[in-house]
Amino acid sequence: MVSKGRRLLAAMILAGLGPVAPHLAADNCDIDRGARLFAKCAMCHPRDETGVSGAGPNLAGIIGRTIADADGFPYSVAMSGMDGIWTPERLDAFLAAPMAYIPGTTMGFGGLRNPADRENLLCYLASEQ
Amino acid sequence: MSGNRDLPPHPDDQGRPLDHNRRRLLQAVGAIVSAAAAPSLHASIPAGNTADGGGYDAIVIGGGFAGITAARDLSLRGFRVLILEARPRLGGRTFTTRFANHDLDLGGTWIGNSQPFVWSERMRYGVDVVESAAVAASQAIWMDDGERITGSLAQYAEIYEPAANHFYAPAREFIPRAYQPLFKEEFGNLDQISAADAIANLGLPAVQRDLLYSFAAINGHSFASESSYLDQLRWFALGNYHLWNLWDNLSRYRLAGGTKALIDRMAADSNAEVRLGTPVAHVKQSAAGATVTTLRGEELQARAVVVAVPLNCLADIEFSPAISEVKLSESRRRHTGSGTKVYAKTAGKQPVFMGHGTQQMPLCFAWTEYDDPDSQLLCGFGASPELLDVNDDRAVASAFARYQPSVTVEESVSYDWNIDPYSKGTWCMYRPGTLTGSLTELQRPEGHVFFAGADIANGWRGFIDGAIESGATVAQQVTQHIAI
Ligand SMILES: Cc1cc2nc3c(=O)[nH]c(=O)nc-3n(C[C@H](O)[C@H](O)[C@H](O)COP(=O)(O)OP(=O)(O)OC[C@H]3O[C@@H](n4cnc5c(N)ncnc54)[C@H](O)[C@@H]3O)c2cc1C
Repeated sequence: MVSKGRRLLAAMILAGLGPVAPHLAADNCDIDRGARLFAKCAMCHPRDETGVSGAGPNLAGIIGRTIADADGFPYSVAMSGMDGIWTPERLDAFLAAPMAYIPGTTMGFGGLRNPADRENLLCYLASEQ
Repeated sequence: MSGNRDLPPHPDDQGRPLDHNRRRLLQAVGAIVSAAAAPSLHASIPAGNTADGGGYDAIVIGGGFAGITAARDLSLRGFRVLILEARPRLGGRTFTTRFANHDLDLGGTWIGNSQPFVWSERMRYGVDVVESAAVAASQAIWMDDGERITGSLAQYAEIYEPAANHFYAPAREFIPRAYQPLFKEEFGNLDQISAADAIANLGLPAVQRDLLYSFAAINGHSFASESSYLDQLRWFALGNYHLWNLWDNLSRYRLAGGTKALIDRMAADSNAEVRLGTPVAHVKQSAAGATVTTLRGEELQARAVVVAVPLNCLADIEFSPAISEVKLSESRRRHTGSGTKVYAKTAGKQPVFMGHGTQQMPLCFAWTEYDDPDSQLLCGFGASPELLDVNDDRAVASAFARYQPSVTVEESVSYDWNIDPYSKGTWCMYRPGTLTGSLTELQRPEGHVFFAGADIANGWRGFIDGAIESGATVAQQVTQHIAI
């Protein structure tokens, strides 16, 4: 489903983001698996060029974006209080245990405990919409 | 929902306490306020006031079915109503999303025609129902001492039905009126013992006993030891003391387009102003009404407040003066609903099945919910998140494989209702003691503050139907209160 080109692009985006965890830059991540895992996120999060949010903020281009920057989305106080951008490392830590990483987040998701799942998901998130 | 549409003409509700002209005026004001619902315009409304500076007649906290019903009913009587909803969406513990080309409900899903409130809403708004694929299951699957048995639904019923009828035997005597759960007044120890205690006392063969533990576990959405036996018995009364009628109300019909189709129609019919993404932190009463303070510090005034949040979230709002200790302690104790619900999309097809496992299995029940041309969507329920990591596709696949060993799961989805701070649990069943000890107090208004929600309903408590019942009942109470 997902072309080799998109996979390469994903690796390039990840690699271009400064200090990237080596495993995230690896081009052996399974982007199709990541796309299937994204079904869990897609319950709440749109990810498209409209930028319009749903029950969760739009995730278009999330890697490298300023944290809590989706237009008009009512973020939790905890999430709004975060500084900086979503690096792959931060997303990885957040997705592993959202409520431990950002206590007070209102995202109703318990986390992806399996590191390979997170790696594949990040790979997908780094790919083109 | 108001804000992006003109007011519909709505029928004149003659005989209401407001006179006609005042109601018309209030509706006009409502329209202006509604137009201001867009976030950018919020700032132009003085804090705590409607556009004309007059304050609200009622503020409804929580935009689930209970809150939407209360807000709709009050606004259609001409009162100025504001809904404050913490999440960025309406619906609360119902949440329709798209998955595998279906409008999938991750929370509340099934309704039934012995559920008077939700059934009448879906009829009046013309929302159709669809049947779960498992209603026509060609295969039943159950467990006998760890061994997987397959057979017809009739063969399964031969084992399960007499056991369930045995379990429910005291229902007619102790809950003679399903919508007045405390009518009988004397309940022996039925509200003090758990469903598991009652099942153990039946002295049934192991296969039937284990099926009952699992049945009590899915109904209480926790292990059978957690829920009150009396509260379990109520469901049989609600199902007209007929097991399969009860089942038809628990798992047969879902709304076409999902629960969203109905709540959107109800919200569209309402003149209430809605603010999403606005958690309430504090409710302070005065002689004339109450001031509601949002988490972001905005203060809003109203003559009455309807608190339509989940029971488990009630204690997270600060009330001054404090609300009763019974309400707070029941909120902190939490109802039993704390299990899992998960859907899995398969590659390829299996027989359409209805599976009844044990309460210790990752999924105590599982069945085919959608039978698509090349794949199926399976639905499963588990007694506890400790038994299944719903976000781990492999764990989910192996949980369904306990029912269909050769199943291939491609993707799975779930929603973590238990950790979401605005639900802190799933649907409501009571622990021992709560029904006889606290229900009446949980429903009791305190000053200008009224309480609504599925978790404190009289009839189908813990259901969408109960949410609507409670919202409608409280709208009546508030009408009386502010008409004075
Ligand atoms: C997994 C699952 C499966 C279910 N299955 C069924 C089923 O098949 N059939 C059925 O009839 N029922 C089912 N239910 C139960 C049903 O969904 C609920 O009983 C019903 O929807 C509850 O409605 P409510 O309005 O009382 O509460 P909720 O829907 O929980 O609404 C309360 C609202 O209050 C908001 N809120 C909370 N705190 C605050 C605050 N501080 N400030 C502002 N807002 C706040 C919440 O965000 C929420 O929107 C199920 C529930 C779950 C979770």
